[in-house]
Order: sequence, then structure tokens, then C-alpha cells
Amino acid sequence: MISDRNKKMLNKTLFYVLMLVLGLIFIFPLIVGFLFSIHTETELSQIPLKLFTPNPTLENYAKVFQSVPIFHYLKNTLIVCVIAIIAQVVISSLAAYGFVFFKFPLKGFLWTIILATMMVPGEVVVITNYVTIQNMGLVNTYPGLFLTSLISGTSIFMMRQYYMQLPKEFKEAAILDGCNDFQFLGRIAIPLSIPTISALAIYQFVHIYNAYFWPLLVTNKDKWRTIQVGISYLVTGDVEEYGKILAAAMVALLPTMLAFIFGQDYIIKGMVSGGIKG
Amino acid sequence: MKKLSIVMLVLLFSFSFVFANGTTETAPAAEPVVEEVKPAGTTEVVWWTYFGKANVSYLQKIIDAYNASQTDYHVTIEYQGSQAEMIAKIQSTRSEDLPALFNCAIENIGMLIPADYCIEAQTFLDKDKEGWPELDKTYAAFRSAYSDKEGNLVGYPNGVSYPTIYYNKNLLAKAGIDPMTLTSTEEVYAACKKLVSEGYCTYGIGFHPDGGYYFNASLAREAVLAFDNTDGYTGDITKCLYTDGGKVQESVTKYLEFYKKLYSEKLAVAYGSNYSSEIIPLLASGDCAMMMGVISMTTKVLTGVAGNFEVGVIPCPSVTPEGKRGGEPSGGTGLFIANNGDKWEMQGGYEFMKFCSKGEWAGYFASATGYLAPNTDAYNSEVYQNYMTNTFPAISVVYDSLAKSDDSAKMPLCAISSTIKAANKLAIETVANEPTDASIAQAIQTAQATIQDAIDLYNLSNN
Repeated sequence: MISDRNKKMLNKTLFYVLMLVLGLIFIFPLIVGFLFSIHTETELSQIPLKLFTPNPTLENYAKVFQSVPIFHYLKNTLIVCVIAIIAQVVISSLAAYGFVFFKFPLKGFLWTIILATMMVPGEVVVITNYVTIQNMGLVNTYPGLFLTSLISGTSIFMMRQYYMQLPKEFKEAAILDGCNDFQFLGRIAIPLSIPTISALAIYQFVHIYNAYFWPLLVTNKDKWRTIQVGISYLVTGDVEEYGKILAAAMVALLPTMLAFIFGQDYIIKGMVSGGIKG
Repeated sequence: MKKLSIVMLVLLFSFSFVFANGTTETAPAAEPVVEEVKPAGTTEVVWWTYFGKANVSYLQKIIDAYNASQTDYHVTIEYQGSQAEMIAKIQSTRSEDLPALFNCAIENIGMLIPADYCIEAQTFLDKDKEGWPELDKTYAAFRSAYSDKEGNLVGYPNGVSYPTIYYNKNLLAKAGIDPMTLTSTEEVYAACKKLVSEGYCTYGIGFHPDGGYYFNASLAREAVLAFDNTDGYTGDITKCLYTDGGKVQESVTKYLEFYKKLYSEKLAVAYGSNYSSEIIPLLASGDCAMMMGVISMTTKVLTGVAGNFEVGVIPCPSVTPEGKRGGEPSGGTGLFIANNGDKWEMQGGYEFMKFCSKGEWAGYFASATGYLAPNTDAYNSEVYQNYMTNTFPAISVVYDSLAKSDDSAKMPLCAISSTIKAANKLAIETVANEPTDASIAQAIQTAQATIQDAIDLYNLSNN
């Protein structure tokens, strides 16, 4: 006969074992990527391919750092991410606030336009955007890299969904206390929406960080390249060096992994508040 | 409200065209320039490439040598993603922002020439008073591949690849197969059958999955012109002849039968397997005896095999033993002049193209990468002879074949080459997945219809 306490312990243990197994399944591609990145190229061309090498080596990492200025690519990527995220948070907060708390002509129509932009795949407009950036003389510049990421329908949508949940009484009370709209936004609405803003920031970070074709189009020179383009530079025609590519991918993954590790609570809160209650 | 929204949306889209103000039109073909005097100063010559870092580092050595050899031009190489991405970028970049030079696979250049993105090297060659001796020493098969329907030079090879079969010398010797007898797909099939049925290995052959290219190459080897107007060399292609009821259909059918037999008898590695992570390891472990690929895979193959056995190569087989086998089908990457409207930049591109073809440099690049030497000067260069002696002696077979080659092995030159390759690849995949006579007939019909539709659409919109 199992006592209630032991039963509880057993259930808890089983739950953690299940979580651990699930976690390992999800993280397995990363583990495999890392393990293969410490193989030599010859070992990676053998059958059967062994997960664990008897002679682990960091030579692939050394080759990556010698071949391409990976930290320079990371710096460019982070500059673009930071500017784009700040712009998205500011612009989408203001736009969403307007749509939720103000009445103005053509509000429904403008909202339809914003929703419509979410339905247009990015690939459809990439060439026209590129032509526009060329005409503006912004090829090989940071503005060329981030201009198209400064605002998105998804961000406005996320923020609007959150603001719609804010009780109208909050604003009424704030107005009675003498707040104007900017004060209400800055002192009450935005602080309350930190989880949503964080989720938005992390979502956009991953999106912009992983962008490949756009940075490739609007930059020609190594000086302006971002991390994803830099990694593709390691692939040479018919001679694919998997070890080197995996090593570069591991380095490139670090910032996004850190963003997820430190921001996972906000992501969950943001998604839940935007998705279920909205 | 809904009606108003629709009206506003229509207006918005209309205005977007006005405000976009973009143009992808290219500049009119530039006038030849040599007779004019180049203005003083150094002209920047930008070269767009899809070669990755390893190959760019070899090319940089050539660039540095060129930049140090004169002061008129300064060449800079810039990576622009994969070939498809680079072509898309060229097609959407304003002509004045295009580079002076770019790399392109020879089988894809037909997509850029008709739209004036590329200016033929012949324009500059005609005015060149210094001459280009390496051009006359270029292998006939390669020079032919880099010429248009009037015989004008389009560009120059800068990484000649070549369809070939890599094989495990020890394994074939043990099975008593003379690799030099494997000159057609029928003989390759017979060798695979012997190797597998007698237990020498699990698979006779594995295929690099870019099947459309090998399809074209084998037909070229057979001296079969699968399109009208001599495969596009004497006029625009208007017809795909896969179902002509004659020689073309017979050759295409026989070519697909090769795959049918291999896959129905389980003699080949699953079609579509990755050559780098699946087929080369099988070759290295001795489980697979041969691999159809291109010569630029040599470094990868030799790394995988790691000296465990000797690797040999067989030139591209023809479809049937009766195939003409006169010419060698060429592939790989070439150097082309982009029509960016700046005559001195383009002139600089041409001068650099000539410099790259010099024996010392073309030989160096070929030995560093595994590509073929484009001309006899490069072949005879010290650096390339060292490569042949010390790294890959087996490659001499290819040069023996090239020396005997004429210019008859042509692959279609047209703007829809990517559609042709995709349709050919699909035909092979269809037969490999369902190896029956019915699937062969179906695959040919589908390929013919797909290619013909693309030809008709292209001609309708361009003529």
C-alpha cells in the first residue's frame, strides 16, 4: 500500500522525468549540432556517424573565427535588432493606444489595412521594398537594414489586444486625477503591459535576428553583413564543411537562446494575455 | 463601410505603384570602349559572387596579384548569397548599381543575356588590340559552352565543373570491372548489377540529386539536341522535342530506363540522398562503389575517403554505347560582365577576366578548389601539375577525354534553363520512386508539357 505522501512524491517524480524527457527531445537538435561541431570533417564523412567523437576538437570554432568576422556580424545584427525593437515598441504602443482609446474617422478602414499587412507574406514585398531602399540610396547602411522592420501589423495587433483588456475605469480614474493621454499611457498603460511588450520584443528579436534574405539584398559589403548572411558565407559550392557551419550556427544561436532563457516568463505571459483574454 | 474600404484599398494599391518609382530596367547595351582613352585614376571594379569564404580566399589572392600588377583598375569581390539569390538580386538591382563582374553557372546565363543584364565579352574582345592568347588555348568544349548562338564569347570559365562518376578503384578492380569501359549508362548499369549481385557492395551508384543537369549533360554527350534551333544556338528555342517520336524521345526514354532498372533492382542509393552527408560517406565506407557528381566535389570526396582507397573518375557517360561522345559537356561557374552602363568598369571587368585565365592563376584556382583547368596553360602550370601528381592523379582521365573533345556537346542555351532542369529532375525522381515503364512515359509527358509551357510563355512575353 502506497501512502498519500509517497504517491504524491511518485507523481511528482514521474512528472519531472516526463518534463526532462520532453525537454531533451526539444533540445536534442541543439545537442546534436554541438556534438557534431566538435568532430573533424573526416569524422563527419564516415558511416556510421558517431554522436560522440573520441577526439573532440574545437578546430571548427577556431576556423570560423579565423574565416569570418563573426563578432562584427553579431554587432551589426544586434544594432539592427535594438533599433527595430525600440521603434516597434514605441510605434505599436502609440498606434494601439489610438485604436483602442480614440474615436476617429476611417478607424475601421485603417484597422483593416493594418490587418491586411499581416496577411501579405514578407516575400511578396521584398523586391519592391528593395527597389524603394535603392531609390532612397540606403543600400549598405544601417537604415537600409532596419527601415522595413520599424513597424509591423503584428506588433500593433498584439499591443491593441492588450490595451483592449485594460478596464475603461482605469482611464476614467486617471483623467479624474488629472492625467492626459500621454501620462496615462506612460504611467499606467505601458507599465501594465510590460509582459506583452517583453513578449513582443523577444518575438521581434528572434524574427529580425534570423532574417537572411533582406540583409543579403540591402548590403553588398562585409562591413554591413549580419550574422545569418555571415554563416551562409561559410558554405562554398560543392564542398560543404558541416563542422564549420555547425560551429558558426552554435555561436549564432547563443543570443537567441539567451533571449529565450531570460525572457521565457514574459513570452508565456505575453502570449497568454494577448491570445486567450484578447 | 465595406464598399468604402474596398475603394480605398484599390486606390492605395494604385498609388503604391506611383510612389514606388522603382525601375528594374537595365541600361541599353554599352558601346565598345577600347578606342577611347581611359580617364586618369583607378576605376573600381566590383565582382559579385556566390562562392563562399574558402573559394573567395583563393580568388582574393588572384585579385591581389591583379591589383598589384597595374593601377588602372581595382577589383573587389563581394559575396551575394547562393546563385539563385544572386541572380534574383541582379534582376532587381538598378543597372547603375550593378557590379562590373559576376559569377554565374554557364547553364543559367541564358536567363540573364536576353534581358541585357549581361554584356557579352565578345564586345570587348573585338576591340582588344593586345589579344587574349589563353582564349585560343581554352579547351574546345569549354569555349563552345561559353559562346552564344553566333559563336560570340559570352564569358570565361572561372571554376569549370564537369559531370563525372567517382569510383572506388579497389572495389571495381576486385569485381573485375574496367572503369574505362563505363562510357554509357547501359554499361554503368551492368557494372552496378555485377557489383551488387556478386556482393562487392550494397549499392552500385549514388546520384548527386541535381538530376536536371546530368540529364542535359548525358543528352549532350549523346549529341542529342532536345530542343529546336540547335538547342537554342541558331535561334530562339520554340519546341521541346522530348516527345518527337524519334531520336530525342528514344534517348530520353533510354536515359530514364537507366534509373528504372537501377531502382527496380535496388542497385542505387535512394534518389535524393544528400551527396555530402549520405553518398560520400557510403562511398568512403565501401558500401557504395560509385557516385555521379561534378568534379568540384573532389575535395569533399578525398576528405571523406581519407586515403583508405584510391579514388578514380570516369568522364560523363552517354546514354547509349552508340552515343557520339565527341564532345564533353561542361558546367560550373563562369565570369561574366554585368551591363551596369559604366564602360570603364566593364572594361576593367574584361581585363580582369583575361588576367584570371592566365595559366598561373587559372591553374592555381583549379588546384585549390578541384575545378578543372580551363586552358592548356593552366593545365601545364607548375601548381596544377603538382596537384595532379600529388593530390588527384586520377583526374588525368578527364583531360585525356577533353583533349579529344570537340565542341559538339551542347546544353540548351535559353532563358528557361532552370525550368528545364527542374522538369528533368522531376522526371528522374518520378522514375526512381516508381520504376516502371508507365512512369517513364508519364514522366516524359509531364516534363515535355512543363517545359513547352515555359517556352511558350517566355516567347509570348518576350517576342
